[in-house]
Amino acid sequence: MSNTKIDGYRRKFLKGLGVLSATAAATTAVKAAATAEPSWGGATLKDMAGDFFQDHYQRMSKQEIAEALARCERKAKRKFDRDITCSNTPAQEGVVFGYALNISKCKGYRDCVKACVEENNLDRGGQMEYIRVLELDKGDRNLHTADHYYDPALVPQDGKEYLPVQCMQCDNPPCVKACPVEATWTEPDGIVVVDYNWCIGCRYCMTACPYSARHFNWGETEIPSEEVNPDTHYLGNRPRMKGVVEKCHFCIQRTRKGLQPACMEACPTGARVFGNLLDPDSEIRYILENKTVFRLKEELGTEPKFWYYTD
Amino acid sequence: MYRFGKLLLAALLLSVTSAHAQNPDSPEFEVPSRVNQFEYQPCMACHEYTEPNPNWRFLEMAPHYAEVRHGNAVMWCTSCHSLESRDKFITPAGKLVDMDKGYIVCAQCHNDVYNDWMHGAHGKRIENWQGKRTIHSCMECHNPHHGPGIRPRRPLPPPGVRKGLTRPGTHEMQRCKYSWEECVYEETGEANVKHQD
Repeated sequence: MSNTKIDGYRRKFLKGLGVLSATAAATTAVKAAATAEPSWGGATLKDMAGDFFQDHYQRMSKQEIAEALARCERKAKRKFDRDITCSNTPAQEGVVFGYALNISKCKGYRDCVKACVEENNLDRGGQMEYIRVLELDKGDRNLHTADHYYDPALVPQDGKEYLPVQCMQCDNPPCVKACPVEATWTEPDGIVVVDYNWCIGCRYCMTACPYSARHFNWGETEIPSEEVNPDTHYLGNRPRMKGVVEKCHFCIQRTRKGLQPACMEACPTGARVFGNLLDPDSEIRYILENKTVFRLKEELGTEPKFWYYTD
Repeated sequence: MYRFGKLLLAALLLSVTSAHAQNPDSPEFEVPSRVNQFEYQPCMACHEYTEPNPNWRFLEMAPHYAEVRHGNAVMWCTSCHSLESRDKFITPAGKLVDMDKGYIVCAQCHNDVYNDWMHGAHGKRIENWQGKRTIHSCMECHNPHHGPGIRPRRPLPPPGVRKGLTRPGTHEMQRCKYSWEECVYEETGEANVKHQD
């Protein structure tokens, strides 16, 4: 008896709540539609709802992806006042990317770091950089005592060598296994990508990565409007939101079109070599077959696709 | 000593031909022209009026390099530049080489590096990883007159440090208790070096 009464109250209350929220949403929608003015921090209700209900990248239909790309462009326009193109160029057939770096040639100038920041729309305050150039004593391979804050008047310094570290795009990536929501995966061309919209920011992948190659976006990205790179990829350098994990993606927006990654293009010494591991005539295959190569923390079985070699 | 150097060059020339035979299927490449970057060009514009003189000397009046330090002074201008036609390089075997194909002259001695360069393990490829392969010539980075090498320079600034944290090694490692507190730490110098770029 009393239960029914309570149920009645509950139903009435919930009904009222539903009506109230529906009215509120409808009012905002009508307002937004009527004035065609974006509300709520510059975003239209449609975009907000689209973002909120957006599915995992691999589960979206073509139509949904197209809408997501358009939303991404509109968002960048609002945030940076800049027209960008957000693409989702698929992987090429028969291509698996690999990287080789000549540590005899790396002089620690950090040109690659700067090029990476500019290409990938990273915060200009230096809060996050995908590439860390480690300074080691000659012959030393202890990554824990390496210094990546080195700042002498001239590099290379005597008795030091330089070892740039970035995402190794492992073939057996521990970060992908660690992700509880499967927001990160390996693409057919071997690049480990992140769906920033799906990432919940738990940072499990960061602790799983033995190379500290993943970085958390602690704050809003601040870039002057004219410095924003307008050529972006959905899984790559599109503007990211606060509170997601991101990392090097071998400049997916460039390399899938046949261009070099920005770090390789910027390297003044030519220490960096990028190419297709499946092509027996490629430069990287020549290096793997003819040079003394090593990979970092090989014993962990992560199978990184990033080799270091010496002259 | 000079004669010995020439002998050495001739011996290496032979080894270079054999290296070609070993790698007949080296990937194709293109090298961008450098001739229009030269300050004085064409060379024969002046050298037409000068007497060819093969003797080693300090070129005091010349607008170009006065001496050659490459190869511990075993070499001199005419080791690589043709004495008769200055707009060409010359190999120790006497073969004339176009100015834009200087890498052939370099390969006479630096055969192993040449091999790596041809296959992409040395040197710099331009623009793409796929499609037409354009690579920089040796002289784009190495000045053959001074002795090669890329000069040391100032590195770009080190990574930033997140708010509330201190850069390890430069400050007393003294983290603030709460992130909203202002951090007080002792500077040990070198932390705030200004960059000019």
